Formats: sequence, C-alpha cells, structure tokens
Amino acid sequence: MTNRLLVILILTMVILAGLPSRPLLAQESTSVSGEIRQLGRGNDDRQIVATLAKAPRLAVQLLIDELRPVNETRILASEKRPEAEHVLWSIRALRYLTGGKDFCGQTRHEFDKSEFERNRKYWLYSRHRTCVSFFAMWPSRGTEYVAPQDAQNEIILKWRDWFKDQGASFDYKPLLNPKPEEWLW
Amino acid sequence: MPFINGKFYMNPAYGRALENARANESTDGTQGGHWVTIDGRHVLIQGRQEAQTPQASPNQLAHLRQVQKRRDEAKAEVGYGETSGIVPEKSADSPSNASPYQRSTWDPSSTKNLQDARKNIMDISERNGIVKKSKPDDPNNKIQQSIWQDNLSVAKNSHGDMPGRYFLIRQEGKGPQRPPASAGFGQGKPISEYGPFRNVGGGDVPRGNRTFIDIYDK
Repeated sequence: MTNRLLVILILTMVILAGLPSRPLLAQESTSVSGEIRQLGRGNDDRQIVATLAKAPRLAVQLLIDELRPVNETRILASEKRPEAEHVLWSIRALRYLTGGKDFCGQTRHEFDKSEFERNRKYWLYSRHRTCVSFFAMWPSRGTEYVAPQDAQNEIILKWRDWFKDQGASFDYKPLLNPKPEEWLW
Repeated sequence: MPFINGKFYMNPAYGRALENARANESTDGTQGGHWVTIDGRHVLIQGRQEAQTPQASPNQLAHLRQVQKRRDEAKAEVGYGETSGIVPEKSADSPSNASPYQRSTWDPSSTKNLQDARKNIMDISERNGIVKKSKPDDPNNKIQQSIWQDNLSVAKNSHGDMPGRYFLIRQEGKGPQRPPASAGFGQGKPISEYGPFRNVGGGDVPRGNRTFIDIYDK
C-alpha cells in the first residue's frame, strides 16, 4: 500500500513538473512555425532566418516539413513566385542553420540546346558538379534556376532521411556571417 | 603586385608558374639575374650568376606559354559568358539600320567602356568564382569569334586589381535595377557603373539600349 502511494506521489510530481514546460514548448513551436511561414513571402527573409537560428533544431525539423516540389523552372529577378520562393528560402534556411549542409540529386531530365536550358544546366550543376542543386542563382542576373522534379524529390527525401537519422544528435552550428555563395545562391 | 619567392609579379599565375619551374632545378650558385621575353612580356629570372644562369629550357618556356594561354582563356570565358550578348553603343553618325555587330559603327568611347567593364568582371572572378563561363560554340561563327577575341584581349590585362566582388547587369527602365534581396549583395550603392550598352542577346536581361553593368563590393 505504501509503495502504491509512493508511486502515485512520484507520478503526480512528474506530471506537475512537466506542466509548465509543455505550454512553453508549444509556444516556441508556434512561434517558429509562424516565422517559417513568412519565408519567401515578401518579408525580410534574412532576418527571419537569423531569428530561426535561436532554435535551430526545431526550426530545421519544421523547415523540412515545408519542402515540396515546385513547378517553376526559372524565376527571373522581376518575377514574384511566393509559393516557390517559400520552398527555396526553406532550403536556404536549412543550409544556414546546419552550417552549410546541402544535398543534390540526380536527374533524368535532358537539358536541350536552348539558351535557357543551357544556362539552367550550367547553374544547377555549378555547386556539386556531378548532381544538381535544388536551385541555383545566376548572381549577376538575380535569376533562380530550379532543378527538374525528379531531382527535387530526391533532395527532399535526403533532407528527411538525414533528419530522421541524425537530426536529434546533430551539432547545430548556424553559419557565422556567411558569404552569399555559402547559402543564398 | 604579388610577391612570389622574393620577386614581384604583375601576374600571379605567371609568377607562380615561373617560380615552380625554377624550383625544379638545383639551387647552387649565387644570386644573379637576367631578363627574358616570353610572348612579348619581360620577365626577370633571378637566382644565379650569369655564368651559371639557367636558361629556361624550350620545354619550360612552352609550358609557361601554355599556362599563360590557359589562364587567359579562363578569364576570357568569364567575360564571354557574362557579356557576350552586349555590344557598345552605336556612334552618332552610323546608319540607323546598321547591324549591332558591325564593329565600324561602334562608338569608340563606349567600346572602351565595355572592355573596361569586362576587365572588371574578370578581375572580380578572381575573388568570386560564381560567374558564368562559356566559349563560342561555333568556330565558323564570325560574330562569336570576334566577341571572343575582344574578351581574350582584355583577359591578358586582367590581374585582379580592379575593385568589387559582385556585379549586376540590368536594363534601365525594365525590371529591377538592384539585385533581389535573395542575392545577398547590392543593397547599398554600386561602387562603379559601366554603360550604357546595347543588350542584343538574352541572358535573362531584357534587351535594349540602356544596359548597365553595376559593380558592388558588398
């Protein structure tokens, strides 16, 4: 009987001790989610990413949930594509928060000889050489080229698999004063 | 100027290549020096008394020329890749229907200005290698070849001394006049501006006669 009382007492204490932290965690999650939802949608994206660096593990988990294939193949500097930009900025934020981690993918897409496709191929292969980035920027034009869908899917899967395997133990060290080419292009 | 193995070189790649060639030889002898001319460039080869001065062997000279050629072509690829669709302004007295590629109709001042811009871009590529590089894809295309030669001639004078780390090519009055925020540069004023030129190609810049190349350092 005494043992049962003791167990009940301990369980009650554990539950009570956990109560204040749960709303805090939920609050933090809501706040980070709110910040992430703003990415690429006309706000100060770099400032948002800097804010996310305060809770990098949670932010990375939520950012990976935001990844999905986009239909655009090229976004000119003059164009506004907030839904696609949201995904591209999620990739940028992931690079930033993980200290520069980036994944690439293989594609079966055959780039044709048009100027557009030649440029797209050139820039998408420029970072990893043997596989394409999710997106790449031609800096002197401000143009973003987006990977073919099969490569996009592979890259999204790689992010998910990486987080499942290493997300909990990974040493999150966000980039410190990075150059644009380290995370934005 | 770069200081390599105790000597200053206008061209760092060239200096390094020369010093590497020298390092492969024995180092006996006292300091001396002599000048050689390679591809019209005067190069000081130091290290021994005249009697013991090692003359660069034909193979070494050929190697150096090859190194220099590769380096010039790599620079020219930057200028060509980034600006091949751009031509200088037309001179005031040229006919209105002149082809934009007719060199005799190009304004001399604008032509020089475009060459200066190309040199600046090539210099920037030493500090920031994320630039478009390409070469003419048709050896029989005279327009491509002439623009390639323009870039090659500038490349020989590109030593990384012009300022800037980024650049933006824009068409005045069409589209954004600053890089997008996602580019991460160009949020302040450009440190220099070249143009106007004519963009007759594509390359994601609207075509027109008010093409500018802005140089940024951050």
